[in-house]
Amino acid sequence: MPPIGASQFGAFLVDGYSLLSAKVKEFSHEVEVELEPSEGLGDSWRATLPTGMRNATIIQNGAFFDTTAAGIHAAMSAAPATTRLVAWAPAGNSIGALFVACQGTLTAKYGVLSEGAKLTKANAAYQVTGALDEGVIVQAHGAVTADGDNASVDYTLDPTQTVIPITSNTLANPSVVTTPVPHGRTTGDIILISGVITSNPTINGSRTVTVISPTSFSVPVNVTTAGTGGSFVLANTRLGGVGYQFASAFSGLTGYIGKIRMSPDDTTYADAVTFVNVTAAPDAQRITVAGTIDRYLRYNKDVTGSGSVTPFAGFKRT
Amino acid sequence: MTDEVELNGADYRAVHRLSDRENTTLAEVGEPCDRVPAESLAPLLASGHIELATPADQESD
Repeated sequence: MPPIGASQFGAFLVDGYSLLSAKVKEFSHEVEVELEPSEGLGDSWRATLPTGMRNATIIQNGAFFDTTAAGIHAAMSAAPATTRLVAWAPAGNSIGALFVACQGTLTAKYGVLSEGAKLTKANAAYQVTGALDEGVIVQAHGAVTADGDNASVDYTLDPTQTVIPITSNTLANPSVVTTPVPHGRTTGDIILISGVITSNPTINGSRTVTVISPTSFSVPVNVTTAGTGGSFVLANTRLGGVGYQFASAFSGLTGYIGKIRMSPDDTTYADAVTFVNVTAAPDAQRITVAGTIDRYLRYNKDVTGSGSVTPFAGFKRT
Repeated sequence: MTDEVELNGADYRAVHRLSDRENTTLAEVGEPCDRVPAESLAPLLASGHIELATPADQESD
């Protein structure tokens, strides 16, 4: 992924309040691994071991103090000890771009800073009580006035995926694929193979894996001429996921339902997450789903009435 | 083992609501999948979105 600039910071929502309009100057999220001293009698150097616990903190600084109805003061001052849903888009407000969100976020500190000859600022720090979820945007933050479907998001194009090289595939039925490094797959995973040459018929395409060893697996193709080279990426995940949806503005409509659908082939879709009907803003929802999450994700917008809603939605695979 | 057999949508039931790219419903949960494109049946079966109908299901149609 190329370097990202501040101008690409595409969305920042706290419980449905959109805080980009407050002109936040700095934003950071930090994940810390907790360590415990592990030295003992006879040791002369300090030593530590990870406890297995991690914690996350979010800090935002330099926003303009703003007391308008949906502004930063309304979001922060009312109930600083309330848990929140927070999401942001550090790499652009577009479908398929990186989406980061967390639940159970407490506003640990909210401060208003007044300095001579300067505009008043509002700073906030959050303590995350759960995990940070990193996924993809399925609905960019922007106004929606009509029903519709967004473009599909293809998991095989996700830049965070690990591309595993292939050494060869055998003349056999099913064909056995060998990798030069541990492939990390389990039986039943669906992968997308590309770049394999000489194999006849080709094993390129979407295939279901049967694991043989850490560096070999079979795919259900009756290969009569062995192949070499190529690589694969994962084409689905099987441990569920979590969908987030925020609405920062709502006017005129009597309802809005967002839905995330999934498909193994980008032709026929199954419902994955259906969010609760939105009737006012700000609104924030987080819904978990179990089981297989297919290769393609697609967000559906269903408005009732005449008006506008400004949603933002993302999905994280577990 | 690898011979491809064309599946018949009427033999399967939807486990989840199924729809096309434009969100037009093809099958509600429990309904037969005869309106699902034939080429989608195998991947949907692998993903667990459809399952083979029982004889009781088919008799009730």
